[in-house]
Amino acid sequence: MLTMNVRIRALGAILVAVWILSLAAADSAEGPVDANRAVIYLANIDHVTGRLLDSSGDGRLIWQSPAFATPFEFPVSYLNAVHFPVPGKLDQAAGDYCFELAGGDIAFGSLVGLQPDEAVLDITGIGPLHVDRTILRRMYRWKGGTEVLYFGPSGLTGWHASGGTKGWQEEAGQLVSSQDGAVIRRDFGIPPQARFEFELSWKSKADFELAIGVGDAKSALRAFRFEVWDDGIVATRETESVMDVAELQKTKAGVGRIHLQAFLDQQKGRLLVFSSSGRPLADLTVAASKPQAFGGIQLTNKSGDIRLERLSISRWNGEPPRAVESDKARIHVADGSIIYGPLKSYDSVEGKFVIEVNGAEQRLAPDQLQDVFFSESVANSERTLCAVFLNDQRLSGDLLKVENNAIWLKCPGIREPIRAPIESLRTLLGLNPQKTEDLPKESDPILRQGRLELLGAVLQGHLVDSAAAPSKTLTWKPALSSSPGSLEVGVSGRIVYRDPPVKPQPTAAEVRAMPVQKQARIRGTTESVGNTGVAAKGKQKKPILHLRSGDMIPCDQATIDESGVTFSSSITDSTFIRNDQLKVLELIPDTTPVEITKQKKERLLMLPRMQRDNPPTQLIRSVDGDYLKGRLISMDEQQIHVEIRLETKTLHRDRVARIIWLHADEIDATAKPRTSDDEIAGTRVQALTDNPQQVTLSKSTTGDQPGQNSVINTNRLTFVAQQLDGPILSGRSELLGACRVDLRQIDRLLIGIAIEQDAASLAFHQWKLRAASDPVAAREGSSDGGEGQESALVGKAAPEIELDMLDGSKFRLSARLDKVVILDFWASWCGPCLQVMPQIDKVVHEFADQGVELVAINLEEKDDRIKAALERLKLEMPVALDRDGRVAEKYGATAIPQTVIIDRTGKVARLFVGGGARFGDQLRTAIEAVLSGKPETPDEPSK
Amino acid sequence: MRVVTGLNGLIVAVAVGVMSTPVMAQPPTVRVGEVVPRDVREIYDRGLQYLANSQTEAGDWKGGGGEQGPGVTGLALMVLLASGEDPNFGLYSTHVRKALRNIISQQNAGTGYFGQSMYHHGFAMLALSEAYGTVDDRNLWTGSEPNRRSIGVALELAVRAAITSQKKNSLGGWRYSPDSSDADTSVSGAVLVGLLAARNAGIEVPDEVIDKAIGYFSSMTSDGGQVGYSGGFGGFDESFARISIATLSYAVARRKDLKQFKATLAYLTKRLENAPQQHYAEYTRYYQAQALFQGDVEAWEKWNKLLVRQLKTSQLPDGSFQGQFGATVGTSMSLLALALNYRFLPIYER
Repeated sequence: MLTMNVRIRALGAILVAVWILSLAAADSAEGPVDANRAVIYLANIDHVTGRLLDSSGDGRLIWQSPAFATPFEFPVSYLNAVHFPVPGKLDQAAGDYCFELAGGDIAFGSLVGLQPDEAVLDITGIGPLHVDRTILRRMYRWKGGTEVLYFGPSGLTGWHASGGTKGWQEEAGQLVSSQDGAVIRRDFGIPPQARFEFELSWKSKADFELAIGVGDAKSALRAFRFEVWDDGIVATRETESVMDVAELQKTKAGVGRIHLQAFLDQQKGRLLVFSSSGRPLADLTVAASKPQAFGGIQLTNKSGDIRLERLSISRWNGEPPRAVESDKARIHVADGSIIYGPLKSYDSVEGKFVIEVNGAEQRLAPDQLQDVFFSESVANSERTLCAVFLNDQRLSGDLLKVENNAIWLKCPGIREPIRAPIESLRTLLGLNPQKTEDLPKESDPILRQGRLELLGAVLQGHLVDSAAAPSKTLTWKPALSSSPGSLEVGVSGRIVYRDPPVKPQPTAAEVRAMPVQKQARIRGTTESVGNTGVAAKGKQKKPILHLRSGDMIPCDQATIDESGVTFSSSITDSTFIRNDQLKVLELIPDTTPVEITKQKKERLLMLPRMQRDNPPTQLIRSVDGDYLKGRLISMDEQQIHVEIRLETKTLHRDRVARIIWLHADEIDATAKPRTSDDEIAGTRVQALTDNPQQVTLSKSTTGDQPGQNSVINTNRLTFVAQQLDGPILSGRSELLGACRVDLRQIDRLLIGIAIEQDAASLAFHQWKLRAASDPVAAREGSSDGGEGQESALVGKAAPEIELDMLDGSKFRLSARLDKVVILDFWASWCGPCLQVMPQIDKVVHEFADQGVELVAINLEEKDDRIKAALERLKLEMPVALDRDGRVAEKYGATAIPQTVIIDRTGKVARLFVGGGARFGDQLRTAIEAVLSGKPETPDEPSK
Repeated sequence: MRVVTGLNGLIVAVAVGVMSTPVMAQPPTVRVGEVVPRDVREIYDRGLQYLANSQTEAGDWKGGGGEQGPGVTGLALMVLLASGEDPNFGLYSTHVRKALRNIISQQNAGTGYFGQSMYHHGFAMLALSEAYGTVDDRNLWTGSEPNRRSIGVALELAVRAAITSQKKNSLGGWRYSPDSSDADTSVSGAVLVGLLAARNAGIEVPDEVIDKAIGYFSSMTSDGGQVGYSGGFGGFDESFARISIATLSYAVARRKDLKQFKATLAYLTKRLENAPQQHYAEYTRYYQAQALFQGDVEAWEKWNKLLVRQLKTSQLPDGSFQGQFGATVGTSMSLLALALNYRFLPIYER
C-alpha cells in the first residue's frame, strides 16, 4: 500500500486513472486485453481512455471512449502518446540481430540480404523489409534479448515520483520535468554488472543528478551519480570514507544534451564512462565498505529543466570495452578484435560477409560477426509517429491509415509500408506534438470553457448547445478534437469551470493566536457546523432538509415516517423525500455548536458488533448538544418516536435540534450510494458554486415562465439536464421542478454519482457510522499466523510472577532462570484453551530433557473447577493460580489462550494469542528456535 | 381430549377473522398485538405460496436444493397448519393431507421410526402432534397405500420409538442415530419438543422420559445460561440456537422453576439485538422466536420487530428464504419464527 500511495500522490490524477485502468486490466488476468483500456494523451494535459477506430490517414486518429456515444477525431499533430494495455506476460523479441536505424528506431530479426545500397531485413512480427543502407546505424548479435533489460523510456508508467505531483510529464514517451527538486525513480532489477546508455537534454541549463544502482532515496546519496558541478557534467561517487570525481563534458547556458554509455560494477565499486561513440571519458573506483547491489535508477531535476530522451540497460560481463576509433565504420569480431572499414555486402554463395578494409576485401563468417557500426552519413529525416512494440522494437514514420486494428506507417528509408497490429504495440508516440501556445483556443465567450473530468479522462473544452437538437445527455466538445462526443447516460464525473480556491493552512502559531472556539474547529474538536450556503437570513429560521446530494430545501411542517420525510416548502410542490436520499433535517438551523471531543464523536459513531445487522438509522441531536442513536419510527408536530435497542421511546420535538440520517452504505466504504440515476432517463447534474454569497442558482416556478423565476439561495442545485441554450443549462428536478443555471456563474458542474461523492465531503456528511473491528482472538490460529513475535512484550524482560500452585507449592518465575518456561494462560470456560492444552502439554514434554517446562496459569477459577477440567482432559500439569488476574494483566492476556515462551535469560521470546488445531506445530517450531538461540525479532518483521 | 374444542376454537377464530389463540385447556394468559402487522402477513403469504407451489405430488418437498425427508415435510406442514386456513376445508387442505400421508407412509411399522435421523423423527413427530386433533383424518387415506395409519396411531408409534431410543442413551438425550449412546442438545431438542407436543396433544409420554431429557439439558446448561453442544463438558461457544432450544424445552415441559431456565432466558433477553450467526440463521430464529415467546412475551415483542425487518430484506422474490439446509427448510423455519404472530399452532400455547 505504501508504494501505491506514493505513486498516486506523486503522479497525480492522470496517472491515477492509468493505474486504476491497469489494475482493472490485471484483474481480468489471463483473458484477452480489453481494447477499450488504451489511453490517448494529447499535447495539452488532456487524456482519455478508449480505443482507436479505423481512419483513412488524413492525419487524424479516430478515438472511441467508452464514456461517450460518439468518437472524437484528434489530429496527429496534437498527439502526445497512445498507451495501449500491456498483457501480463511479455515475450522477448526473437531474431539473430538487433538493428539500430536512423531516428532512434530499433528492430530485431535476421539479415536476408546486404547490397551496397540496400539491405533486406526480416523483422520479427512485421516481415521482410527493404531498407536503404543510409538509415542503417548499427547491427549486433541479439541473444534473444537476454542481455537487454530495458529500452525506453516510453512514458511514466512504472516510474515512481516524489516531491510534487506535477513534477514530471511525459512527452513523446520521454520524461520531462521543469520543477525544481522533482525526483523520479524506477527499479529495473539491474544486475551487479550492467551497461547503461542514456541521453539527457535541457532547454535552459543543465542542473540534474542521475544516480544508477539505487535502492531508495537514501541509497541514491551513496550511488554512482552523474551530476552538474559549476560548468561541467561529472561522474562521481561518495561513500562514508572515500569519494572520487571525473569531469565528462563542459556545459554552457541554454540548450544542451549529453549522450553517454556507462558500465557499472556494483560489487567492485567501479564505473566506466564512454561517449556515445565509444570514447573513454572516466574510470572511477570507489568501493563501499559493504558492497550492495541495487536495481534502480533515480533522476533529479535540481533546477531548470531536464528531459530523459533515451535509456537502455543491459547485462554486462564485466569485461571493459576496448578503445575504438569511434567515428569510423567498424566491425567487432567474436575474438575481440576490431576491423575498421565498411561492411559492404553479404556473399550468399560463400555464406560470408564482405568487408572493405583499406581498399581490399576481407571476408568474415556470420558467426564471427558481433557488432557492426555503419558510418552515419545521412541526417535523420522528420517523422510524426513512433510505434513502440511490446517487444521493445521502435519504428517511426508517418501515419498511412488505421485499419482492422492495425496502424500503417510509412517509414523514411524503408520501401514497404509497416503494418503494426495494435495488440503488438505498447505505445504510439507523437514525435512532434504542437506546442501548448500553438494549440487552438475557443474564442466564443458564450461557450464557457471548462475541464471535463471523468474516470479515465480529462478533456478541456465546452458543452455543446443543444437548443436546436434536444438530447437526453450532455455533449462535450474537446478543444483538441474536431468532433464533439455525447456523454453516455450513467457516466459520472465533473466539469470544472473554476478550480476551488486553495485555503492556506494556518501555522501552529496562528492557531494558538485564535480564539478557543476557532482553534477547536481547526483541531476538529468542535462538532462541525452544517453546509454553508443556505442564507435564510432574518426572522425565525425554517427547518432545512439536507439531501445526500448536497442540495438543501427550506421547509415547513416536516413529519417523518419509516419511509421518509413529508414536508411542504415554498420552493417546491414536492412533499416527500425518501429516507435514502436524506442526510440531515435541521429542525432548528444553525444551532450553536457544542464542543465534542474526537474520542466522544468516534464512540458515538461506533457501530457495535452486535448491532451490525440492525444498525441505528438516525442520530438525533438535542438543542443542548446531546446525541441519541436509534431508529426513527415517526415524527409528528409534537413528538418523535424512536426505537432504541428495540424499545420505543418518545421525545418532545421542540427539544430536538437536528436529525442526522445514518446510511448502511456509509459504513462500507466500497458500497455505492443509491441514487436515482438508474430510474431517470437523462443525465443528472449538480451546479455548484464555491461562493454562495455572490451567486444564486435559480429554478423556474412551475409555470416555466422565465419572468417568474423564483430564486433559491443555494450553492448546490441538482437536476436532470435537458437543454443547453447558450450559457443557460436547464432541466428538471424531481423535487424542485424546472431548473435553470447560468454556466457563467458556476464553478463546477457535477455529473451522475460524482454528486454524492462530492457531497460526502460536506461537514454533515462526516457523521457516519464506523463498524467496530473484530477481536483478534476470534480468529483461528495464533493472532496472525505469525511466529509469535508481534507482541510488544517480545524481547523485553518477562514480568515477575509469584503465584500459589494448585498442588499447594509456590511458583516464582525468577527462580527458573536456567529453564525455558512456557506459560499457558487458560480457564475452564474457554473452549479454545481446552482445545490447545493437550497440544501444549504434548509438545513441551518432547523438550523436557532440554530444560523446557510448562506452567499453566489459570485465570480466577476455583480449585474444584480446575481439577474437574484437568480430570476431564486427562492432563497432569503444574497449574498456577492467578486468582485476581494480576499476572494475566501484566502479560497483557486480554484474550486467551495466550502462550508465552520465556528464554533462559528471562526475556519474553515469543507470545501467541489464540490456538487452533495446528497450534502444537507452531509452538514446536518456536521452542526449537528459542533453544537454538534465534533472535527474538528479525530485522524486518514480515507483515 | 381437546380435539373438539381445539378444532372449534380454530374455526371460530378464522371465521370471525379475529386473532385469538384456540380455546384450549389452559386459557391464554397474555394477549398482545391485537392486529397482525401488514409486513408479517405479506411475508407469510408469499412464503406460503412458495411452499404450496413447491410441494411434490407425493406430498413432500424435494426442490430448493437442500435437506429433504420426513422432518422437512413436517416443518412445511406446520407452516400450512399455522397459516390460519382451515386444514380440512381451506385453501391448503389438499396440501396438508398429502404431507401427512407422506410422513406417515415413511414410518417403520415395527419401530415407529420415521427414518433418516432423529432430527427428522423429532420434527415429524412435532408436525403430527400439531395436526392431531386439528386435521380430520377419517378420510385421510383414499387408496390402498401401505401404512394406512391414522395420525393418532402414527404419533403413538413415533413416541414409542423416541422413548426406546432414549432408553439406550445413558445421557438421557438423543443423537442422529436412534441407537446412539451419545447425545447432543440440538437433536435432543428436536425430539424432546416433539414429545412435549405429543403429550400436549394427549398422547401418553411418561414423566420420567421428560424428566430425564430435562435433566440432560440442565447438565448441559452453564450458570451463565450458555448451552453446550455434545458430551458433558466444555465447548460453551455462544449458540443462540442451543440456548433457545433449552429455554423452549424447559418452558414447554412446565419447568420454568429451574434456575437453568432462568439463566438461559436471561441470556436471550439481555441480547435481543444480537444478530443470529451467519450459520444456521433460520434454525436459530425458529427456536429463538418460540423461546422468547414462551419465556418473556414483552421481550419477544421487541425481538419480533427485528425479525420482521430481517425477514423482509432476506425474502427472495419467489417468496422463499435460502439457508444452508435449502429453500424448503429456510422458508419453513423463517415462517414458523414469524407464525408466533398468529399463534395458531398448539405448541405456541403459553
